[in-house]
Amino acid sequence: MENLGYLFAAYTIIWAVVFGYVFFLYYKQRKLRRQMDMLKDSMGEQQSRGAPKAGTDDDSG
Amino acid sequence: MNGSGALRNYVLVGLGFALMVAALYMVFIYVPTDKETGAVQRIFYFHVPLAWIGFLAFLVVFVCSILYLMKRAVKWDTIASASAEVGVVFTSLVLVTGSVWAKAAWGIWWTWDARLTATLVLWFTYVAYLLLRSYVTEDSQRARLSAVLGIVGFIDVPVVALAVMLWRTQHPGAIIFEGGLVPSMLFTLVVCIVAFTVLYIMLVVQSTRFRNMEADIRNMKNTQAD
Repeated sequence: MENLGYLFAAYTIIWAVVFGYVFFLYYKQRKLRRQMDMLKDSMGEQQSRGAPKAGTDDDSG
Repeated sequence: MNGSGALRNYVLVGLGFALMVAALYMVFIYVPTDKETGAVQRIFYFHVPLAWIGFLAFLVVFVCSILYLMKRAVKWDTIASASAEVGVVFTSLVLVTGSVWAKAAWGIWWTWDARLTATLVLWFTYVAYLLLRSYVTEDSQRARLSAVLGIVGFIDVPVVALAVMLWRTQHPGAIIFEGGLVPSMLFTLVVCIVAFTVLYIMLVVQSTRFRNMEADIRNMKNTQAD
């Protein structure tokens, strides 16, 4: 039946877009989590070394 | 995410998955084929819930935008932006699935019918909302401007919903409210609407979560820079 092609197309598009969006959210969240872990690590290191002196970042070059 | 948050997340995902499987079973096996339009009528069972989610998403944007302007609490702006993004995804699907159905039923992909045109305007409005958010860099200005657009843009939602009653349109009328569906078709539609509502909630929760993470990272970077 000719109509089945349209039915198949509609449902394929729906699932492709929904899964694509879910994957996009998952990927973005994973990237942010990695970024957050890195920041937490570097902040932890800074704290363990004591408060940085004023202008340290700029002078480190 | 804490323990109860993770549990709530798993329950939501499990419920959404079960409902979606039930919805697919009902759409393709349980519900009888429409005598007039044939198998392509089954697009209707996902097309209508997608449109409903579009309306719901933009209603949430509207309400959260008002709350943001009243209380200036960032959480309302975050939820509004997450809901707008999900709304745009679902409204895009409404336009595409409607177009596929139109080709099968009317022989054309698109016509400048009142409901179709109003839906396209709605889609453009919320794409503009997302673009505005990406262009304005200052947080409070972005939240304020997008809240105004979120409120003004909502005017088009009742226009889309009532278009089939206000104008002579090619788009099918309000068959759900006119009793044009047999009970099994109506039941299938209700299950699909519930399944998509759960999916919408899941997506908005996730999207809100990563927006909050983005804000936390920005704050941490600022703290580190200070």
